[in-house]
Amino acid sequence: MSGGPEESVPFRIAVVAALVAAGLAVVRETAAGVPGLLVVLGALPAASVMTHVLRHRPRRLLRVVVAAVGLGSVAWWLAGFTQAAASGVGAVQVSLAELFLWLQVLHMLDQPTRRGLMLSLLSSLVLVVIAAVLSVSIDLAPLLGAWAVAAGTALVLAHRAGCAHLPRIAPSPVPPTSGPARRLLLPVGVAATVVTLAAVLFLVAPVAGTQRVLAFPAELRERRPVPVLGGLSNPAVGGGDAGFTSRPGGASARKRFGYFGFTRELDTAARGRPDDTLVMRVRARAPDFWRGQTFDAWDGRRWTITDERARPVTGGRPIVLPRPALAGLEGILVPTDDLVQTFILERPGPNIVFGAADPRDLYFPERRVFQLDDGTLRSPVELEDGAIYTVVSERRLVTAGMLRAAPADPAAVPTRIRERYAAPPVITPRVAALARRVTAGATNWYDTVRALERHLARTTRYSLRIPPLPPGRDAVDQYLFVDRRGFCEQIGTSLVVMLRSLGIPARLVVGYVPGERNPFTGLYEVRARDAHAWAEVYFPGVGWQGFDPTASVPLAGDSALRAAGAGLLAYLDARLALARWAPPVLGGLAVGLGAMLVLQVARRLRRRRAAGGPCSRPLERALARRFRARSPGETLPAYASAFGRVHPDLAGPAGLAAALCDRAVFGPHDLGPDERAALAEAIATIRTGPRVRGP
Amino acid sequence: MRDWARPRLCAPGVATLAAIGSCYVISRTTGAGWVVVIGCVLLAALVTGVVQPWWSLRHIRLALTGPPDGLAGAPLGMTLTVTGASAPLVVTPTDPTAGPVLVAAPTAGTVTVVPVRRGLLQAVTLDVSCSGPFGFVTWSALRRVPLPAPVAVAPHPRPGPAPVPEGLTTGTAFRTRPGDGDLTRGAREYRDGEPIRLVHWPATARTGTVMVRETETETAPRLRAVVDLRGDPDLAEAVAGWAAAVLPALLAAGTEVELGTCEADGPCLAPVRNRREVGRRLARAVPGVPAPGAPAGSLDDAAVLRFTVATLPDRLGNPGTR
Repeated sequence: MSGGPEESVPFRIAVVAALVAAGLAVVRETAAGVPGLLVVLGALPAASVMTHVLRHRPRRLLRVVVAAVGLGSVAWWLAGFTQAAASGVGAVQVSLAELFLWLQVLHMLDQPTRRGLMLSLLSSLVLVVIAAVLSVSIDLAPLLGAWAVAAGTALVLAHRAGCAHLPRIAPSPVPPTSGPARRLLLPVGVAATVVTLAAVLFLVAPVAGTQRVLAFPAELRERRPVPVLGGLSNPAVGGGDAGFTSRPGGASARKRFGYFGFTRELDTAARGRPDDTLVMRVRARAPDFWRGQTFDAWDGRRWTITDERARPVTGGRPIVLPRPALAGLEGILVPTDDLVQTFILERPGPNIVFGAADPRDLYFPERRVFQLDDGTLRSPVELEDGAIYTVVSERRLVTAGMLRAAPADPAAVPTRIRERYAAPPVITPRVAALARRVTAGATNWYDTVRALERHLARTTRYSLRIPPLPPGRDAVDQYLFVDRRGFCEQIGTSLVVMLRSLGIPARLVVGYVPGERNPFTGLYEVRARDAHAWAEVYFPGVGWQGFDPTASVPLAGDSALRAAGAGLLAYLDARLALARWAPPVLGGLAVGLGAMLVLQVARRLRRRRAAGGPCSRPLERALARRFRARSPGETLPAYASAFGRVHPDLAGPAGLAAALCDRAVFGPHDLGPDERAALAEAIATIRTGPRVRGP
Repeated sequence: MRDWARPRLCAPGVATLAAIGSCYVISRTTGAGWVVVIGCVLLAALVTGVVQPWWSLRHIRLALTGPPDGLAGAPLGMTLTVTGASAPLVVTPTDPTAGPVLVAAPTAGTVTVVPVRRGLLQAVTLDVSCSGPFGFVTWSALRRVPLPAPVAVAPHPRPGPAPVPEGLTTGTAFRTRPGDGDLTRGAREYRDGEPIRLVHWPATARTGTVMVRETETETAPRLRAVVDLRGDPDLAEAVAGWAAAVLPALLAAGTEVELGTCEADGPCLAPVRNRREVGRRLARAVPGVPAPGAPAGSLDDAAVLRFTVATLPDRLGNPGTR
């Protein structure tokens, strides 16, 4: 019997615990259900018990069976590969994860050696990484924590078991004090160090990227065509959606997360307030506006879309999107970068395909989408919860300098854009006068926009509670001169209308602000309340650029995330109310640590003073009487040892007394009563023992 | 002496390093934030697993005490005291050698070393390694731990015939001494003041002069052993072992032995009384001109035994006598 780590039951238990935690994570993310749970919670532990019990018996037959079943499983998986591949990358990932989990059970049946167990530990890491790739929520955290604890414990136990075959040092008669607290110090210290270091590394680690080699995810749980092909459908607003027709059994009322902006017209006077419902998650390496659609026609109260003709765009994976007619990107030489955004829908929503500005490629579960002249994309099927699609946008890395340098000349704007977006709007004279007065000093369109934004921020305030718009009143006039409060629709509309009154092309866009970034998943969690309306302004030579006085979305050129852990504290604060309890707790911790430090220093100083004091001085006197004075630089044990060589009959008491004195001075604790009594007795024995002449 | 610690990457460390690299690639290509978290945890564990054993090696303190005497080739128990908290250490004495032992500091206990050569053991070299807590990297360092008092390692006895005493050939070795003994040595003329009971009447009758008995006392045999370790080092060690076997046997037989050797600070000639003293003197002996072999001092009537490479018996390894 080798007596190696494979014999260690705690090590095996830790490995199985790590595998079970990783397996549960995979089952959770792949929705493997009860069969998966049975495999993880039943088959894995049972296989581990079996292989441990039979580890010293010949397993030739078992190996043959395991190999056969393993090969059969792989063959079965390969047979279904084509079907899974057709369903998308996600389906292949899931089936691969399940196959790998099943192979782990088989592997667990035959792992009598340390190498096999370490391989299982490594496999648990692979499973956890698979689950991490598939996971889009914070709910993975407990399983990840359990796996980390189990895997760390397994590593420590493997290391200890690997050393267990070595003979331990034979204990001396007086072992140094090492109480349970001191023994716990090292593992607790190591765990605390790992956690702290991991947190620090997370704060500086590079943000996860999205540059896939193969293909981006695109899935649809259920394929249900929209009522009007190429038209707009938004089940979340029920009867409020002009294009929506109630289905049997379906709700016709607006859902609490439904936003009226994702319809064919936007009434700025009647906006329901969407709640905190999580509507979708977005995986992207940088924040941006998730644009939905634009409105161009304003009648003083409502926004509508002038031209809703949608043309089909077909393709494979990806669907290469043509440049929209009204994009105005011809001849523009602004540097660009690709922003990959994967949208994971959590609630049924409009059939609008969201995405950052200027989408170029679309990975979509359908081979056809519809595009409007302004670039709005519409799906031919309802986008229910569970739908996933990926948009690759060619973001123009615009900076304030570029926008300032753009020519402030309406003649430089393409004719179609100028006709549609820069025509004089429906506006009251005092609003037009206000726009002219506020922007009097601006020499370029960017400063003009900023001046209007500043004026809006200075003279109005954001509020979700506004009085009803009186019949016949202009919504912008009411907002700017009467109510002086409003929400994004009023603010965005005012900006667009005033810009248009100055001859600057502008339009209203609805969509979502980036949402809160979950630093753990790296996903932006977009909630219903993140539905938003903002202005887009056309700059000759640059293109359309979003502006919003109410949301803090940086320009694309300034929006790169620096670290994966960016926003970690804010995220935790929002959930744990750090701001409330962190100061007293951290303050208490600091005070406690400071007090411990002061006590430790004081104790060391006291002991240092006592080093030649009451404890060791009597012993030194007794030894000096019988032997010689202690030499400079000679340690007390060495002194006692030299004494013992001359007085072999007193070597025992001298060694004991020296060890106790040493421990009293340098050990972590003071001597106990028994030890003090033993010390006194040893010194007395040295004093009264038979006199022996020294050399 | 390699006092600085040297790292050696172990299999779990390699696997963890590879896993961190994989996590980086996966996170860069999938955008999965959780993979960044896992990578950070792995990296933190790896850094801790690399730094912690190095830190332990830097901060543990080792002390060794041993008995005053030892014997070459025989186990020698020494008390090792390790202070400072650390993950389990593997301590392997390399000079003198011994098998590895597991040490969980702070602790104290006995390690058994086997000195292979005679001499004064001033320090012990320990190979201390630590790879805890995770076993990612093994740091090892050689530590020379000085002993508070040197251990005199006596040579391993190599039984052989005693060299022929010079005194026997020159007639300077006496087993008796004139004086008040029981043995009659001879007769001589009476001197004034001698007791009458010493008168040897038959001789007086024969010679016509008053004759007295002359007596003698039997004394212990006296020998001077000279150990000369000059020459081939291996043969010199064989000479020391030879002396270590012969001299205690002579002492046990009641012979008084005066041992002449060369020590680090010069020739040394002093009586030895028992095996331990013989061992200590031989342990301290170094190659060089030993104490003079000519009779001197109180043992001027001693025979001289010369333990040299030249006189080393054939079966003890002397090639020159074959």
